[in-house]
Amino acid sequence: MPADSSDALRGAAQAAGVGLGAALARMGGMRDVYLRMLESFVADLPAQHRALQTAEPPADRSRRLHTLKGVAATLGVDALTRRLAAAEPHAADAQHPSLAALRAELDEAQPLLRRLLAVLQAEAPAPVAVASAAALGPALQQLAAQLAAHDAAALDALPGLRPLLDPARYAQLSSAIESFDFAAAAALLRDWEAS
Amino acid sequence: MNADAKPRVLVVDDQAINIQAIYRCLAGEVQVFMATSGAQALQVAAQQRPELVLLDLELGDLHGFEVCARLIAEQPGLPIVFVSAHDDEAQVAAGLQAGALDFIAKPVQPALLRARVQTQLRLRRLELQLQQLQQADGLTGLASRAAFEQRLAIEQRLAQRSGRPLALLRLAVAGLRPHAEAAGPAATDALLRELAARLQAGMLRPADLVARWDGDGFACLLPETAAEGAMAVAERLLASCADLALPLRIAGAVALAQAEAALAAAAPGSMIWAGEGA
Repeated sequence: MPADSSDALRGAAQAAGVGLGAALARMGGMRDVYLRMLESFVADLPAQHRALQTAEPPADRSRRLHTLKGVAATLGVDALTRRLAAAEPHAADAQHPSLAALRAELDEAQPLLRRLLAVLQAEAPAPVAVASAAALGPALQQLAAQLAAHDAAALDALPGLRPLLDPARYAQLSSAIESFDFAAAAALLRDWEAS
Repeated sequence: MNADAKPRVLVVDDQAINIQAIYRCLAGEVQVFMATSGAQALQVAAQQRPELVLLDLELGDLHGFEVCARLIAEQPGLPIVFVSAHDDEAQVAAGLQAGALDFIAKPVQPALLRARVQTQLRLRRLELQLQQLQQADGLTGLASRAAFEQRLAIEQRLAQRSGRPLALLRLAVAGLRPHAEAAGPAATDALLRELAARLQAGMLRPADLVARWDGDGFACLLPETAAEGAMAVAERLLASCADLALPLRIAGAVALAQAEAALAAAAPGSMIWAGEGA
């Protein structure tokens, strides 16, 4: 756990079974990045829970559990990762107790993870506007080149663009870039230039 | 090859969160390119020429083993490391048998990931240096004609996949034979070595290559370069050697707007140089 974590954050992470220190280290210590990744993960959990209750080919279920396990592990959602690891070998047997335990874990984890998100959001610093509007054009040009090259450094353009862009546009752009849909992000830039 | 450039690493994973984590671990040390599918990985690898690929096993379209095999077929020697939550003994062994050099388990541990990436990059650079020594022209230290033709075959495949242009230049020293008769072999060798050094310094991108083509000639391979760019490079190279005892001239050029089948079909040794003999 990072030394500068508040008691509230430590408590929320522990309650949710999240190893926050290791997870933040994997994100280079960037809490804002971790927060957005965790938001995306938590938003997807209801769909994951529903999928567990439907009949699906064993290979598809196995792959989905495996993918979810990898992402949960990356985000340090350790308790859920353990449940997923236990369930993955039994993906073909929809009645296996490990799948029922996984569904229960998903039920239990969601409110706790949302609580952790709320604490992270409350403790997030407000964005600081440091760039001038004149910087927008060159910044977007550089970003377009990074997107065309599939250069992951496009991620680092986002903090500088946040104070310069309309919030709705920023939300669209950051969503596309952080999900690594660079084609969609490049299309947004072209649309804005044309409008 | 620009030795100061950051090493180029391609990260392939269908989950954005996993790419984010690897990027955050490596961003200060390497340039990270990304792909979220197997097909995109093949395309980006052809465009960006990574020095290392970090490859997930479970991709939405192709399995990691297939992507690994196709990458190695297109770019022999390209180091590939699997990064996967499938870390049981059988999967790791299968991954290594598929041609990967290492296997890293998810979730990644930042310090270990960085160390293992740096190890692979160091080994790759040593391997390339060794290849370069083995394939170097004895006098100038540039790549030999045989090494040039090997690289050309690879670049043709990559240009075909990426649809990007590919240019070749041949530069010749004007009047080398009379100069050699007058100035002697030692001075001539020194002149060729100086020319070679300046041409090498003029290869600004990692994928650009200059080779000793024959007694008085050099050849340049310029991926992702169209005709105008190739001519600009030629003029820059000629200018960089203008103060030497003998001038360079353009002895031939091939620039294709796209990787046309004709180029891919042509045996490198029989490549027709536009302007040959001019």
